[in-house]
Amino acid sequence: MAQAKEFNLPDDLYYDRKEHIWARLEQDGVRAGVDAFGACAAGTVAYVKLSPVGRHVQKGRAFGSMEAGKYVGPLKAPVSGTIAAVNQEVLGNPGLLNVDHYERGWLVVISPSNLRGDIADLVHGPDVQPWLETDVAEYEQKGMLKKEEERQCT
Amino acid sequence: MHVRLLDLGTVPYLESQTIYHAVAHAMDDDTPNTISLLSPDRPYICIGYHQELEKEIDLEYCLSQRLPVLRREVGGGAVYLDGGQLFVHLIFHRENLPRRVEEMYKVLIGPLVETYRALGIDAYHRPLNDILVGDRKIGGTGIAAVGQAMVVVGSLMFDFDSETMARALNVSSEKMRDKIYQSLRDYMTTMKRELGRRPPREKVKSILIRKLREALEVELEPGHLTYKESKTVEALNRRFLSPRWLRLKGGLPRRGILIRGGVRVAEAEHKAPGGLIRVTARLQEDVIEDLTLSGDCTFHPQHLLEGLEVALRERHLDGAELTAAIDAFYRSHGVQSPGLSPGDLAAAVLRLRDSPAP
Repeated sequence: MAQAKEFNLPDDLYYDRKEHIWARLEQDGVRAGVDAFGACAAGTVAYVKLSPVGRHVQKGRAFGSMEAGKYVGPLKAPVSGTIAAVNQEVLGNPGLLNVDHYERGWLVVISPSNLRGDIADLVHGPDVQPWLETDVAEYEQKGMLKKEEERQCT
Repeated sequence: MHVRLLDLGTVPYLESQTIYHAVAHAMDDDTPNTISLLSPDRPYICIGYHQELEKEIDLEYCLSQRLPVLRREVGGGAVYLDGGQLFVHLIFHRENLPRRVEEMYKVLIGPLVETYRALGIDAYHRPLNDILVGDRKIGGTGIAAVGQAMVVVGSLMFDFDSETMARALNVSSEKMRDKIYQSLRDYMTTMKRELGRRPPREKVKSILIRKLREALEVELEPGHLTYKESKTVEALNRRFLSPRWLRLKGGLPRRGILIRGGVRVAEAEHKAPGGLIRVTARLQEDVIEDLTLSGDCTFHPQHLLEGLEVALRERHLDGAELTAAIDAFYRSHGVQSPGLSPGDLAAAVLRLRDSPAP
């Protein structure tokens, strides 16, 4: 488990550096969701919209969107492929993105079309810790993260 | 570091939305961070990205009044927009803004608050994203990630037409509409209301530009749309008017109509053995500020219904508290309501907690 400040990122997952989307390689496909850092940055998620099962998605393109505090942002696919499953529970309870990032808060499962190529630039394993530390430090240096004691994220 | 300033004055209503979207969509590594200032040439209604047109808007009314409706890519609810507002859009590279939404709002809201203060209006930022004067909201804000850009939008409010705003919303009853209108009047304010007159637009704009420059610690360089951005505006003009875009499916849950952060108007119904009871209320968090009861139940003596409404003001949406208050009112006034128990009334009021958009 990689950890920086209050953010926990399991290092067995793969991460999109910019979007803070996680990907877990499973037998049936690639499960994806928003990591702890991304969810904290957005704030309390009020709504999630996801593309339907069967829709083809391209790596780096939106497979859905989320809204939090009048902020709307795209959810970008970590790999290309076809959406094989959509988390109905999170559609009904989008707050799961804030409290259970890696289990009940998953968003979609994608049947990948180019897995090896697509995961090459995702962060994984021992690279997760230094990447997370750098990312958090960068935002702190810019004054973009509140002090730890003021935070409400878990 | 410098930021491009697009000081565009009054623009066609459609472009008051598509210009900032276009700058964001067309943004590449060479695009400067940009601020646009503009107002629409006519009134319109603008719904949030995740809203559904028919659920939110009284389309028949809008059509009859020739009041156009647009969908933006920014979140939030339906709003009435017109020339009484000066729109301010920050269209920045994502890495030049804070990561956290809460912090991003501060980048724009700070200068907006300072502008009001320079005009003698005691405005302040109430997180997450409200600007208030006392307990009244003045202007709105929102954020969207669009392409490479992060867009932070807000407005300075010279004047506001609460009546048209309340009229254009799709609501379940006229009681609800009346309460929304009254709540907008009670909980929104404008520069005109605070100062007794509309301050000169150029003066306000010039203060805002100074406050933006000071807060961002950048030079604002007057600029214009590039050819690529202008072509994107044209493309977005077509897209924003297309039925497909306007009628995108959404489902942003709303527990009533949000007037400002913490204040909402909601309506709920409960079927009691004696008939239907409907509750329309204005809530501050979970406290009832104002409440109207209606329906087809028998309530005797009828004139005491208003007294019960008053007795429920300042009560929390709490089952035990409500039942006790209604019980006490029934006992002290000898109320008779066959098939409608105090428990039924409490249940109806409690449904306000989770009432969806009417």
